[in-house]
Amino acid sequence: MKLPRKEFDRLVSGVCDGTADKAQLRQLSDLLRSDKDARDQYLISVDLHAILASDPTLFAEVRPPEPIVREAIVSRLDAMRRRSFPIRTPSTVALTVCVVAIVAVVLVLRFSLHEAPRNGSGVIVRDNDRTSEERLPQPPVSQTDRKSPLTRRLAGGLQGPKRSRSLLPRRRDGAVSLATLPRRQTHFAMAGGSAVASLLPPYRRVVRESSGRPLLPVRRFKPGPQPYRHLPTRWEFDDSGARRRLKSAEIVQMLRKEQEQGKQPVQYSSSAARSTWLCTPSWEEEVRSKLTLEMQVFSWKRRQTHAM
Amino acid sequence: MTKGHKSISHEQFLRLFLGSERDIFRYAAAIVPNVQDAQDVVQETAVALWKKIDEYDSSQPFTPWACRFALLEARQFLKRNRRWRAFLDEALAEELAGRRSELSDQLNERRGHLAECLEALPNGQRRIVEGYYYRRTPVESLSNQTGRSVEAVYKALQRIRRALLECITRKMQPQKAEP
Repeated sequence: MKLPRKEFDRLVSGVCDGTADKAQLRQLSDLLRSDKDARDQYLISVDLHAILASDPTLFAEVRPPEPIVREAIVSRLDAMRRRSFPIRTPSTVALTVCVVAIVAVVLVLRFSLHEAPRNGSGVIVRDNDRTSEERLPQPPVSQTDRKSPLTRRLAGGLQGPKRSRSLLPRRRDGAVSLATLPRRQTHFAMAGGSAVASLLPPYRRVVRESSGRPLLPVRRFKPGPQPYRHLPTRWEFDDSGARRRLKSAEIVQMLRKEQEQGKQPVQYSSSAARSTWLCTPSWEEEVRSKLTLEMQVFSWKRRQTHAM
Repeated sequence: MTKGHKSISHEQFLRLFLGSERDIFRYAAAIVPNVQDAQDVVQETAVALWKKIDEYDSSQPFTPWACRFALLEARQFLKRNRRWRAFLDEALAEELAGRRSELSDQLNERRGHLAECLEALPNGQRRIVEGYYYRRTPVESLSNQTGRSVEAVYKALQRIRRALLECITRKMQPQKAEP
């Protein structure tokens, strides 16, 4: 390869992490064009990066301590089996047996005694990144909501709507993303977030096809609080479906404007997807249907996990 | 509802797609390495696949068919994105995609050694790589957690990836030496 290894790594890392400037991009581009070996090395490096980013099973050790789903238990047991450690004395064997027995009893008790809360339903959720058990309370359903089939489908999956006046100030320290649909004169924000994006595509577009409306412009939300300057995505859609990124300042401005108009956001949270949504009342129904679809995907994945 | 027009149901499609999603992502990342951009490409690919699912021949494997769509979507992405377009033009993207297909056996073999190499990482490095890739912790937070500067975290990630690549290469060598 024409370039020293360290320099090459720096360029590839810059591309993978999104830190490369224009000059570095151009330098790597020229190198890839002219050097076949560099092309191979680039593909190998980028593939490693892509696997790390897309295969959570590689990080089995950091899964939640109580493996709920059978697959997680099996993989953990396999990992334990693979890990060989020297056993020197019979007392070590006895100690190990005791520890394993205690862990097994704890797990069995957890499975058998953990009942769903009253007025709630138990849901075991497995997504691409984590395995977890969620106990979801039933959402409060008002008399008017009872008539809506959509609301009934939300049962067990969503909490809300819960009107919260404290959300906007609280979001000043981070954890908010926002997207707008000018044609509908409204927008919504998402606080927190999770790896829902990878599950959405087929369903999102089905929403669009069936309703004839633009799909919900939600994607790429990272979990955990994110300061404004690190918001992953701000999209604005125009009537033709073209989109542009919104600047953080624009988002803050829009939220303030909305607040001045007296439109308090409505909060929905989807425990299964570990996400919280804020939306203006005018877009409430849309967000609810979006979250319903999200729940359907999660339920589908749950069924698949149990079927394994 | 579109459901009725398709010969493959949502559920079947989802099953196929989720089964291939990681491979499609890896394929897309060869052309668009930034994770979030690659996820965008995968999403667009899913949409395109759903639209064309009636053309899918179920006697053929799904992943290669889907990867063709991923390539098209990645090219579309490059066209739309000025920054990436400056990095990879269509010809180079095509060249990389072709070469990646040739290397796919080797890449899959390398992938088989990755778990072992990850386990062999020192604890500090492992925490960084888990935080960055698994927990998707922003680098700024990783920087606070580890007491390093942001640049140092990026540098550490670069070193970790290099260490993993070399570890995998070492693990592949003895196997190649065997008859």
